[in-house]
Amino acid sequence: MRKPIRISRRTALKAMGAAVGLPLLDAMVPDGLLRAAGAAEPARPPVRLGFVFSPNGVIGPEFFPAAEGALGDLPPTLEPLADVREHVLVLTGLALDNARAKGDGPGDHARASAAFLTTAHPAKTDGRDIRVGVSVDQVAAAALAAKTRLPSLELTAEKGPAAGRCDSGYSCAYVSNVSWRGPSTPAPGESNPRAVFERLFGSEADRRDEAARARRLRHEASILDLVADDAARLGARLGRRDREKLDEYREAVREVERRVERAESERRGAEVPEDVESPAGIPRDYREHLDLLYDLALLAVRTDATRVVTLMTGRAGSNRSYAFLGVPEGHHHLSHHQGDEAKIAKIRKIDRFQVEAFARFVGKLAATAEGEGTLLHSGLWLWGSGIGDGNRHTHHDLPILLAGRGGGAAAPGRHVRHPTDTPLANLYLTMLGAAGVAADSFGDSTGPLAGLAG
Amino acid sequence: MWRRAARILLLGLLLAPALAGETPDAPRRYATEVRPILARYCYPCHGDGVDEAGLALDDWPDPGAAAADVATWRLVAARLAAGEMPPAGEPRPSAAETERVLAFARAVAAETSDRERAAPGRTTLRRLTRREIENSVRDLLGVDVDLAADLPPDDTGYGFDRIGDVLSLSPLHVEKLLAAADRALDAALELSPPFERRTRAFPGAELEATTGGTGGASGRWLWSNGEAFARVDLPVAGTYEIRVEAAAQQAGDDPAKAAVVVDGRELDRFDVKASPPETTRFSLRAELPAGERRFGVAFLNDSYRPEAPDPADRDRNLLVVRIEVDGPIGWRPPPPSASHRRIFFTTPAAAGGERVAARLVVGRFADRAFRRPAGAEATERLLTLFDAARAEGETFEAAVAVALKAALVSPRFLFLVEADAPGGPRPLDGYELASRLSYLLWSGPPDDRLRAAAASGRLLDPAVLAAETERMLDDPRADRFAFDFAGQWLGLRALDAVAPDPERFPAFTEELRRDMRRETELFFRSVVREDRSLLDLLTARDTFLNERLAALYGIPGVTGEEFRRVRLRSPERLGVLTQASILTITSNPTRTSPVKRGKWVLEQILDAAPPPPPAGVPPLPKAEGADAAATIRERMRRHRTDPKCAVCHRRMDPIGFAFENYDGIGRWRETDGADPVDARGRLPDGRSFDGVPGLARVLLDEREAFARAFVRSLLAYALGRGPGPGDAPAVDRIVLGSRGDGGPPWRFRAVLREVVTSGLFRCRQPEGGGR
Repeated sequence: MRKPIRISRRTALKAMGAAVGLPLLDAMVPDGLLRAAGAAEPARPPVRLGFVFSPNGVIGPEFFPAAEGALGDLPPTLEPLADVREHVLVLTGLALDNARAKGDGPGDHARASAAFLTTAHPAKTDGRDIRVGVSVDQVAAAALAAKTRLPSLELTAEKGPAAGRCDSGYSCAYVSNVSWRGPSTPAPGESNPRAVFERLFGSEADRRDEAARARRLRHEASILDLVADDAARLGARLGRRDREKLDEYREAVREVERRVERAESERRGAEVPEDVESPAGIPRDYREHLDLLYDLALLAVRTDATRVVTLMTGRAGSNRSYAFLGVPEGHHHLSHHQGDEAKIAKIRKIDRFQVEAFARFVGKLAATAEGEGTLLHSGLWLWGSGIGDGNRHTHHDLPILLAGRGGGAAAPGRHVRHPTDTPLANLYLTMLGAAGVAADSFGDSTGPLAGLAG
Repeated sequence: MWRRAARILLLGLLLAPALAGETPDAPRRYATEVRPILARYCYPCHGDGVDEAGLALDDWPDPGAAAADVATWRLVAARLAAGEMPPAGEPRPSAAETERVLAFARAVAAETSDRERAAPGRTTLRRLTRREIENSVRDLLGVDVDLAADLPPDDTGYGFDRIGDVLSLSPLHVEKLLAAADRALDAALELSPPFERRTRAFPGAELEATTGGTGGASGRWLWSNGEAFARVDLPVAGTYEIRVEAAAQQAGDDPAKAAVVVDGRELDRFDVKASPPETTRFSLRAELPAGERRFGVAFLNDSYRPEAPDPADRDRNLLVVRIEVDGPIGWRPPPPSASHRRIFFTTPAAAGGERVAARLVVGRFADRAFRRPAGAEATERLLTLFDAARAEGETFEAAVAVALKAALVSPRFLFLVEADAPGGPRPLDGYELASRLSYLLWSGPPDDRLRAAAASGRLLDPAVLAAETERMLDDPRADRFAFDFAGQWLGLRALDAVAPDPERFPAFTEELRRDMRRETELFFRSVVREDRSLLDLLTARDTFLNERLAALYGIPGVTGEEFRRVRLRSPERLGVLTQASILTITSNPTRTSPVKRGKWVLEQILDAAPPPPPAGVPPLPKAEGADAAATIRERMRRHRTDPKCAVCHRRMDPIGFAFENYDGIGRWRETDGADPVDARGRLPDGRSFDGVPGLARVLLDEREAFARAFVRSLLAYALGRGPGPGDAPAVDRIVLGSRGDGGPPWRFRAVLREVVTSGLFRCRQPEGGGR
């Protein structure tokens, strides 16, 4: 009955793989984005923020450049960045103080992911009174919500749910999510590329039958209005904590209601760029899956469907096997290498693989024209881990890469060393500023990060 | 008003003894009425310094402590009532004396049970899990649709994905729920508009071609054998007429030959005798399935002879002028499906008007979706959606579907709502209790019968509650509990994520991954269905295998995909401990992990989760030089020499070693690399064992700890919350109450019955109330 979607088995966004400058199609440009109304000067493209979380830390000596300043010879793990080094900042000395135990005992992986974008200290609990903080991407998303169809896009390369007990008495919610809409409400990531695609461009059915789409949206707007009201009525009979849950529901409903209303106001669904095909489900191959998610992140900002993206390359403490790299052991298991050279060599392969995937993505951003520049001129894309040294579970000397210029906020192509224990939150504060999100502080920030703009 | 009054009355009934117990006279009764009887008949073996079977009935510090020791009184009462104690040949109490002790034991138990009711703990408003949402929608609509995979995974806490505090709801959920509701309603109601016959016409200029040639206003030229085609999405299976129009540049004796081709399959051939501007028309009818099809005209006899003397003979080409696809022809809507009739149980004609019919249909659906009477007001509100949709021109049924969709994303559907009454704890009402029960046993909503028991209030009677529990366990839907609980409690879900090294374990395939999980699920189901003892999980001499798993275990005579019960004859395999699923999830990708296995046993079987390793201590000390070759056992010895590690590892590691005969995917092995396997272990208390059979004997000594571990997990699953400090007495009571007298202890259903009839399950504590 339904039209079968033509699916290419391999990475679907084929054309995007080719490093060619794509013309910024007028159809893709939101009204007034390039040219401010009436003005002759081209408007500046908006700043997009991206955050990539990678689990288990890195082998530091192989990752951190020896010298500060312009990126010359790259350390082994960063070699894959060679072709895009002029677009990347290596930032060292940053720390997540709130991922430290502070008397809570073990659970560094859970704390690393929970604190990564919130820079807050998660309450140690397997469920009751779960609480951390609002993450930087969600702060940006809330501020920029009105500008795009989706306030933010959360992606994860971890396809299944976490099973059983996750980390030392921390609920799996801390381990599986880096985005937090509210202090107790994670924003789960989507792992299925096909589902991401449909969120960006609507379902195949919607694209085929615009009248049906319009009808559906109209009904959904009324439905959402009604159920939000249901929640309000229900809340009157419940206790505080229960009401919080209902508030979470109501906020989610209201947010979707806004999306629906916005979609309704558009005559038709979002246009799928001509060079893009709908991807299939989740590829079996992790490499392919990861590339596809990066491609979708690019597609999301390229079509201005959103300006804020997060991507988890894996859950905190992921024990993924990288057999395709000749590393069949589990990642987490290996990360406790205790100085064993063979294990260190394997971790290095994993680190390098993740940097390679990010480098490919940066290359594609650099090759995607927008206005008079590329997506890298407007974007700020962070790659990092909430753990520095996986062997010892440290939360300082974090591996942090930042690609893009953020409309001038960053001068890439350098290694900038900060004093040990400089809050990662300072970088976030600067990123928020670049995106035009007014904030005096974020998390445990002590001020904007120095030296980013050169 | 009436319901409120009834609730107050009920609350009074349930809590009355507690209030009366404000001035308990139990210690006095104990001292004056009960102790003399004990002294006379029991102390010879259980007092005066003798504690036969570890039981002494005279070492309470004071009568108050005696009167509070529910566990012991339960045991005493059970033995006494069964006539097992005092043993045959010893002096026995009179009937009156026996009754006096039993009455006292009952009073103590009742009082404790009231204390539990007074502090049943609090479950935060719990959202249904994605699996429960899928089951609920299926049960409600009567259709088999897969929805869970499209919803975001549910985060877990306390080992389970059903924890109210952890289950959250994001905009992504709402988007996906709306889409899922659409899919389910589409499948159930089949409201697709009638398919009207229409013609899709493709002039030649719009055709694609598999071979070279120009296209233009006159048509699509094929200069060599090949096909000009168009893609058409057929809305429904049916009869379609394909009409084509073509012409040819003729050459040679034969006319141009062409064929009508659908998806590469030739349906019929025809000669194209016309030359432009004349055309040849050809048509045929075919039965075609729904979906996108490729309709083409193929050129079959290309001819190119530039040397031919007559220029008109040199080149034959086909011009496809037009393709039309017309249909479906004679399509009739199918009769309404069973699921459709189930929802639309009445019609506007039968009900005497559209609005009336809509109210009946929507009202009944909402009652079921909300698991309690929706109420006239809520139904009326849903009907406003119907009214609006109808006013916009939707059909009656489509407009009703809008209201149903709202019910499926309503908080009253998505959450297990239990209202807070001001004041102290209260017993759940029938509907709340029915929902707790059905989501425990079926991961889905109550059925008609349970709803009726809820509506009448009979379900509040513990005997009815127990009977309903039995009935529901016999229903196939109880498999949902068996599989879901086993999947989470035993950690089977982790199998989805394990990645044994293909080099070392080439036998590990996707099929085997599923088989492993299946074995343990089926085994646990047999515990549920056949009401087996929990101890069977440790010692059973049977399991469920298919050919692949049997081959992994080296058990002959099992062939085919089908799982069947297999008796285990060799001592290598017993209970769940030696099932490949458990052995695989507690291994690393390249090798076994005695630590993980030991931890698993402590955590899941002995209810004694070791604290996680202290911060900053790596799991194994640095391996140097020769160490690389050392066996795991040797390297792990250091776990137990460093005092910081030793506290836990002295317990964990020996248990893990008992499993060393099973490799990283659960195969039996005699050697680990070059070394013979050493599966001996010794616990800190001196008990030692060799291999899993020996370990199982030690675990049997700890049967009560195992039962407690199971009960605690079952409670977390049943209540949707983590264990609270006030739960301990209830856990003790459940463990004791379900031990049974004689026969295998802790039969599954006895345990479950104690859980669902406990105060924890049947009462609710408002915020800040109780304790």
